Amino acid sequence: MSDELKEQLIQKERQLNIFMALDKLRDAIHTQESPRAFYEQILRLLMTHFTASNGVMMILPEHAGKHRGIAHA
Amino acid sequence: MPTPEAEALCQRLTEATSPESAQALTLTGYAGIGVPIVLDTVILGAVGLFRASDQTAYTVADHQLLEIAEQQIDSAIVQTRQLWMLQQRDRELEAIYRLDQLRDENADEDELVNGFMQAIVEQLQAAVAMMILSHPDTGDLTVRGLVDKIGLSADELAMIQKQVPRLLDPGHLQSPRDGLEVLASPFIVGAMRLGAILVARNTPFATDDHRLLFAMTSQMDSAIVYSRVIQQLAQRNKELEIIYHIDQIRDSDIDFDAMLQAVLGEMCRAIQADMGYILLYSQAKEDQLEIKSASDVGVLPTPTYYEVIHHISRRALRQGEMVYDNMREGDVRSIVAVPIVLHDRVIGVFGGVNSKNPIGFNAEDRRILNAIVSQVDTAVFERMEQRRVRQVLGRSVDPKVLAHLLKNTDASNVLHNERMVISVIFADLRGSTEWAERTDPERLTHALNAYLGRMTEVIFEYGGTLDKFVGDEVIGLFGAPLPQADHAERCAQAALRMQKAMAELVEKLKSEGYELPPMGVGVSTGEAICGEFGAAQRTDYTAMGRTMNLGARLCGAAKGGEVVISDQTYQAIKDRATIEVLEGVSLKGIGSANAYKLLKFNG
Repeated sequence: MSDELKEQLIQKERQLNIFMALDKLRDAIHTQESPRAFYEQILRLLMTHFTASNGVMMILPEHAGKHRGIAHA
Repeated sequence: MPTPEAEALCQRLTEATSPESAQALTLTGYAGIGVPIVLDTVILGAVGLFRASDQTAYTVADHQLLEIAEQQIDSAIVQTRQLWMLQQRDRELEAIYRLDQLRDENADEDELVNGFMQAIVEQLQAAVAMMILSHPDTGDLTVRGLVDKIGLSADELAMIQKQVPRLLDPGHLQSPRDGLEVLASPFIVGAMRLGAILVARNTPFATDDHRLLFAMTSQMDSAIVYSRVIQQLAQRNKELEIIYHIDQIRDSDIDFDAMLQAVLGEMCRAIQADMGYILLYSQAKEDQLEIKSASDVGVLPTPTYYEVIHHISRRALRQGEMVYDNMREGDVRSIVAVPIVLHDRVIGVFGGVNSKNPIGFNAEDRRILNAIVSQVDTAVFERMEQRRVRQVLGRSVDPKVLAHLLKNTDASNVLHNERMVISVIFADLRGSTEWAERTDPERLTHALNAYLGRMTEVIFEYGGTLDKFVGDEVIGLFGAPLPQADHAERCAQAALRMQKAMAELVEKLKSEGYELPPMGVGVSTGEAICGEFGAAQRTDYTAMGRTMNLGARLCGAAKGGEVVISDQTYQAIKDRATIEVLEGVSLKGIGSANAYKLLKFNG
């Protein structure tokens, strides 16, 4: 197998793993305490998959308002 | 990692002109990748991931993978938002349903408020819920309902409470405690500011909590207004019922004291007083109040009650308005007093005492008390006047005449001094001084009393008023206080009847071995000032003026067995009577005067 194909395989596997993990989160969406908790879980998942030491997620308010959901990790 | 800087990077991503692309992010000490979260060209937010600078840097493949992952995240965010919104609407609906149920089940404002507070605590998972309402009477903002799971101090509560008057929109209030968040929503119905709902908890309130509190407040304000209207309606009904009862008592044919007792009993029931009292302004001693009646005579005489009632009653009289007091200790815990004033005249004080309940008489009780007083003041005044008329005239007029007088005239005017045209009769014994000197006192008393009694009977028989006895002199009035168109004839008829009765009495006494000198009678007609005269200690109904003086002088001019009448009396009866002109009569202090001897009435 060429290096290029190997790279592609790794990339596809990472992609699949993220999709599977995100799908699992989405399936458990009804059990979330609040949207903020859900956003935090997405962020942690991304940080794990991208081996990030820090992460930040900003969600804009649905309608113009003073509050917005921000998740930090 | 410096959070504000990371947030700024995310913000920048949401404002990017090409949001579809992942970007490399540079942060002090960190290298990262970020991507805006976009669904159908709508930017929902952004996500940034960072590694420390000394770690392996993100590659293009990482960028591409994050871009692909974002495509899964965007719809999940929308989904969670919709789900959350649905849950929130359910929560709001549930809260509204619960409030509606409370509203249907509780007409009483206290129960309603308590139910609302419990519902708020549960729905918002709050540690504190407080309802501040304006007082219906004073408009003052007071805490009407409170659930406090964290034990706020009085100062902390006061700090929250004092922010309410400035509250116009739902929002956060300054918290009295670190870590505690306070959310408030004002009660405004129409232009009426009713107060506010306040909630506090140790976790932050989200937008949805604001929405929920606002939705619940909107349900509560109208419920409170409705409850108040219902309560006012019930109160007005109660007032009407009491007024109806008082009216029945007032119109019933019972004596004064019984009427007062019945009114006090009704008042005690209406305002839940242990005891009611009426102090009547004493006519005899103008600086004193006299307790006339109380619903519980067993309680009243204790010195403490007596003292407190008099003290507050004097205050009510001084201030000319209702006063009330609450006491923390002592026999009397709450007391209220209303002055009874009619036509600018103080009649007395009406009030209630509560010996157990220190809360006192509320605004509604005071309203009822005022209503009762306004219903009974006239009746009390009239009955007092009637009592006074009885006291003054009881021995001066025939009981039937007195009853007629009280029934058909305004008692307050009967004793009023006024100028009237009346006829007067003076009768006294001739030679009474010598008779008294030569007669044994007991025999004299017997004969004199028989004479005075019989003459009084004759005066009453003709509808006259006994003015007074002066020694053996009998003075009678006709045409006062009850006006009589035929007073001159009545008086003259009575004079003749008195002479006849005197002759009969003399014969009777003679047969019993008693002596009675002959009697002369004088009658005059004319103007006199009639009314109540005297001092605070004693008053009499009498008449003053020239007519009285003339009557006395004519009596002096009459020989034993004669009736001598004045010119004005003569003019009034001359067509119906046989009268002889007396020539050259000179009366002491008056001089020459026309005088006539009345012999008989014709026919």
